[in-house]
Amino acid sequence: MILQLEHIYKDYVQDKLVVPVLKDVSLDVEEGEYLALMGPSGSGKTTLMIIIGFLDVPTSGSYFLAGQNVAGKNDRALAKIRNSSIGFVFQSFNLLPRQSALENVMLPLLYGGVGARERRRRAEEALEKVGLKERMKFLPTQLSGGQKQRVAIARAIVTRPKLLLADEPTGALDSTSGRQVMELFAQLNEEDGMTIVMITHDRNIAAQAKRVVFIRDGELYFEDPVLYAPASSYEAYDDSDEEDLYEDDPEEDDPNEYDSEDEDTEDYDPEVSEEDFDEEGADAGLPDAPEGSEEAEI
Amino acid sequence: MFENIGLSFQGIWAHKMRSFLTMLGIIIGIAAIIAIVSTINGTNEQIKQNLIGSGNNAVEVSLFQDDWQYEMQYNGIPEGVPVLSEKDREKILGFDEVEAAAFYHRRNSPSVFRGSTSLNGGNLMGTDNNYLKVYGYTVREGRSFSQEDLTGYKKVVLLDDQAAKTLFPSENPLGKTLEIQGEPFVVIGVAVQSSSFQPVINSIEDYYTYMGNETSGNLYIPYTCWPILFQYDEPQNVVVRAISTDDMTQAGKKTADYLNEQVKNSNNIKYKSSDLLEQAKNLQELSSSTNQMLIWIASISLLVGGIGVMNIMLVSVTERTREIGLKKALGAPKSRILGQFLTEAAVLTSLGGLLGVLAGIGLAQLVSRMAEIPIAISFPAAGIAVVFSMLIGIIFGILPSVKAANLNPIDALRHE
Repeated sequence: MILQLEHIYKDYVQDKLVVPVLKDVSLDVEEGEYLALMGPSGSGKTTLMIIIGFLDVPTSGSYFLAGQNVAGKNDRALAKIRNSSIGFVFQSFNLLPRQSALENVMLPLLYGGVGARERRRRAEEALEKVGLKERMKFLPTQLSGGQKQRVAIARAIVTRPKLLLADEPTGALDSTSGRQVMELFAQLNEEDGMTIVMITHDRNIAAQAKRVVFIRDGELYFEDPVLYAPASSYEAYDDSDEEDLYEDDPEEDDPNEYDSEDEDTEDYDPEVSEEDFDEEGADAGLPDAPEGSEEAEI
Repeated sequence: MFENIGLSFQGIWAHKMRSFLTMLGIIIGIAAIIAIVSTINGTNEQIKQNLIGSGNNAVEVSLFQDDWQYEMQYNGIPEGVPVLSEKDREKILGFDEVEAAAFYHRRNSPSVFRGSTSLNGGNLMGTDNNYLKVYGYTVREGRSFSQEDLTGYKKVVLLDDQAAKTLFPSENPLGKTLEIQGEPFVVIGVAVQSSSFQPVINSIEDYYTYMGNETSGNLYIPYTCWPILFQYDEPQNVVVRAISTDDMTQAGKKTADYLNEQVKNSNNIKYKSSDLLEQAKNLQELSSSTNQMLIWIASISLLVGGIGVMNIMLVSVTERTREIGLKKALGAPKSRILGQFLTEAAVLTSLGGLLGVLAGIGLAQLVSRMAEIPIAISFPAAGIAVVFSMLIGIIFGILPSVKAANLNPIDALRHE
């Protein structure tokens, strides 16, 4: 058992009001599993991933990673676990803009205290795995969206983590690039036996995982709750409904703002990009992390 | 650490204009301080050089009653003060700091006539060739005292340049007769202080310091003739030449202490050394204290510069919230983030300090050319300035760095 969540609760406090986001979540993930965590925006799926990824601690409940209880660990210890045991892949890549692909991939090894020569060797190896070895000297601005995400994946696997955590990894990509990323995930899972936990709200993407769990209103379902839910609650889950969410937050349309101003938009399939907007809009409106959406205005 | 320094330079280079403007406060502050310190050092150096020039490291040790120089022409021979002998001179010459020593009698404003021309003011000294040696006098015309002059009580006189000009404005003084205190004396030579001993005069203050005792002229007669003009058993004054300028105070003190051992006087009459080094120190302190004020004012610029750095670092932290969040997600501990931002602030201000030192040296050169003020660039001061600006960076970088290190990785990652 690589991942064991037992009765996890997470509350956020907003304006002295306690908002429960996760309610009694229990989940086991076996080594070598490929799990998709699916849920509509506001369901608490990002919060769950934050807790799995040690970016925050649960309000209550216990969490074991590879049999080791991680409750009550201090900042330094959590940083060390993040560094050695978990690889992150984000929707918006989060590459350092002024560093080359190679330097970006070497970054986690630097924090892990790996020597310079070994860092370089392992980073090149990881870039080779994602098929970008010949572009390792490129800056993120010189790479397409799909290439950027593959560099980010190389960065996530360079420390040979026990767990790969992906948050909407195809959310900012066109369909071709998205497919490439999914193929890479499948390869990493099958050939290297890497455990993958992926968050998505796209059914087609989730279908490529070996197991899908659903989260809705902070509760976990091992079968799709929507299929059994009354028609009215189905609305929030429907893609067509997310049009409204997009209108709520029109500024949030470019997920790649951090990486570069002049995103190579020609890479985007115009038909798909509409969908991209929807997804990002949906994500930004996350009520499960009120501070997050507030901070976006700052 | 090296990665951090590399990153800092990358960051500074990426925002060249902003970095430069941020550094400007530090640059101006450090440049001002370096320029001021260079000027102070230059002035002090010159004062010291003048000392060596003016007195040839000479320290006069003469009799004082309390704080006033004891004047034998008004007060008579002091009780219990012995006349000094050649044995005393040898003793004084035995001190490590003393290179040469001479004894002399002195009268201010003696009565000296050449026909109807009189020497107004001036000094008359009863001494020997040692005195000329200590003060670096060379005989330009004629000769110095011979052994026979001294043992034979010869009424001969040496003039200095000034006295020669006053008394013999239009003729060669050699072999001419002067009337000193009513007695005839024959001029045997004109002595001049060699030019390397001439002080550099840049201001009226310098003039008073180095030329203040320059009067209408000095006359030198053999000390053996002194009782003919004045009285027997007058105790002498002493002048010693120290080995180096720094030894002047010690040489004077040792001589005075030795002489005072022999003095048995109840009226507080004592030998005291009055050296130019001390006077110069007072002068230096005076100029330093005004400049100290300027340094304080310049320090305010450093403070303002430091606040500017803090401000920009805070902006930088906000701008790079996502980067910080990512680094934390990848496993960078707090200390690493703290180190990164502290290093960046320190690199920024050190660079500012370095540019400030260069600008300060340039400014000092400019000032010295334009105002003809001597400067001396102090390399230790430049080093301290750079280290100090680095400290400013670290101190004013603490707040932004702590803010960065304490960012919650999720909030940081969500930051748009």
